[in-house]
Amino acid sequence: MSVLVLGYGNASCGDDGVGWQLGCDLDHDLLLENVQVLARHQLTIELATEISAAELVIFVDASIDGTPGEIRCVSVEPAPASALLLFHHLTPAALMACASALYGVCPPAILLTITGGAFGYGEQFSDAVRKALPRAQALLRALIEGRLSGNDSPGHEVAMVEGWPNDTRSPLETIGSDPIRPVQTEEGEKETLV
Amino acid sequence: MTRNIVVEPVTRIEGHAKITLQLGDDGHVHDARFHVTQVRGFEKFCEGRPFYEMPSLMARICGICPVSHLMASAKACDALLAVRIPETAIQLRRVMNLGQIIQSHALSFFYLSSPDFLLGMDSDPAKRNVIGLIQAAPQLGRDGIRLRQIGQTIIELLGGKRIHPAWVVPGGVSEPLSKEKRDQILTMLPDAQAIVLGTIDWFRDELDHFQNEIASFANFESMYMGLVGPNGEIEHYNGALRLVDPKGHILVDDRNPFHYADYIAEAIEPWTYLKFTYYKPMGYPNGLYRVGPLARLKVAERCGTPLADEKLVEFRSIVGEARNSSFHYHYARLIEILHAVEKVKEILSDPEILNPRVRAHAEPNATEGVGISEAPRGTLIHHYTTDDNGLITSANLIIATGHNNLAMNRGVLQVAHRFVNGNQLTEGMLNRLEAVIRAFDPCLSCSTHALGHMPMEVELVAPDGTIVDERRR
Repeated sequence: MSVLVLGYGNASCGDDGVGWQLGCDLDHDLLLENVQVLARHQLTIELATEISAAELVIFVDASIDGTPGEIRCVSVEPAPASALLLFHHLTPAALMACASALYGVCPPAILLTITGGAFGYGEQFSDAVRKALPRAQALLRALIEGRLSGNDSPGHEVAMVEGWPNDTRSPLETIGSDPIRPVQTEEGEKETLV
Repeated sequence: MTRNIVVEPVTRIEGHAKITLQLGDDGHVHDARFHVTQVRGFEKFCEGRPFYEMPSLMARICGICPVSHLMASAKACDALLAVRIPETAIQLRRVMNLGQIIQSHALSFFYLSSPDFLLGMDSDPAKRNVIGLIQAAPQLGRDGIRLRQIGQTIIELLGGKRIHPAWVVPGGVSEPLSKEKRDQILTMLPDAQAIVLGTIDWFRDELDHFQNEIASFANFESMYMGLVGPNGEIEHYNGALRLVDPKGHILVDDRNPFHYADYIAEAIEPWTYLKFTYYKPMGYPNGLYRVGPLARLKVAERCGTPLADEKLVEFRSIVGEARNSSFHYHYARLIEILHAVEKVKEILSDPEILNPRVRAHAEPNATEGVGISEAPRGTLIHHYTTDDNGLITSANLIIATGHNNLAMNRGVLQVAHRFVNGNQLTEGMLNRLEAVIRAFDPCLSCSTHALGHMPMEVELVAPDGTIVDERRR
């Protein structure tokens, strides 16, 4: 299966660049087959071409929702955006809609986000994001390799337990459209998301 | 009693602006102004920085045309080093600049203006956008996307990334071109050529539907300015800066960039942050001239590549009496894309392009440098002075949109005279007011060195200052 990974964000604005950085890191991993990795400053309509050729699309971005360092996965459904938004604020859903309109294909897509805590000028990540990076990398690789799937239940959010991948249990829990539920860890601690 | 119409914000342009129309007692438009309402001030905050940072700093002015600022800035820094940079570096910079022309012109033509051409000036504004374009003509949408992608990929392959590449440096470029990357670029060019040739034919046949717009979109005599090559061909990187009068007679033909202030100057007005550049001998505001794709085709005798020259001859034969209409910027843009594709192929076909000697190293040897190149929107001038340690003491940037400011304002007035009458604005009026601005493809982030948003506003204002009508998008 051909997978397209789109890591995007502003590398000069602290945690905003975490998606871009994850894309760059992955791009240097020559062991990945059938995976196209693109690291971009922002999503643009031209990416619809690459999307149309993929069988799975994984968007990787920073988020302002939740606690810094939190990682979330959510399936992306195509949703047209206002024309003005197409140039400076294109969302994954709008980009998927463009791919569908332009090329008549719309592969399944997942949005992986890492919640940031510091978005000021600078190329350094906050401690929370830096700490979350290995887990995000592991989750991204699992999604690419098909060991995890965020698109089995479209529109549902998935959460990953603290400690994965060292934890032997399934790292993801489908939680539907309800607010994110706590996940019980082996140690008995209640965590929300990693 | 006079009143004003204000169009605010102006849409499908790069930046934030509004248009004000002043109505007279007779209900007719007496005056029109294109206001640029953003400011950032790059010229000021780069003072004190080391000169070698300037290309990367200046590229941050704009996310659409950072390469243009890289070019002019690096050329100004070459002058500070007082070195002659390697020929291969010049050609590599030229290829990147042409990639920028391809991607930026594709953005302007396909994304911003094609909805008007395909769906009509009076069509529903909710659909008159790139989404509507994609739905109505997916192939045209795909062509635009592919063409822009090719331009961006050229930039990315050379500079390492599509936006703000740091590869162009004082003294040349930071690394040579590999054979693999050269071949990758060459592989894309036939596709680009086929797309632009098809689009030129389509657009030529569409012109009959826009005779009213052609007749009124800044359709007046003016001077034109742009770079030209040694044989009178179109030029985007080096060459002489040429200014011609409305009859095509050469007023200025100067190879020394340091002389620019002898013949052009900038004026300011209290109602806009965008300066007005004018031809000094004729004074302000009579020294109106235009720059950009149409101007480059006016000042040059030929394109200098076979297919673009064929299309230029065809273009000159069909424009007729309206040869000064700024509506023809769109056509000129397509011809320039074709020229850029041909020129990139020509440059990359020379084995010397793989020469590893691409950078001259030196300490600063001068305290003043000027760099001039052609951005997609027109002539771009960067002028720096430094202290003895190479720290910037002043920077003056003259941007394409500033050169065109007088013409844009006069163009808005001409459109208003033709299409606006009375107290109420219709969608068709509003769109044509915007479309005449859009024909110039202004970049307000560049021209005010500002952080920009997209929208535009129009206001209709009475003589006593009362806003009679307004539209915002």
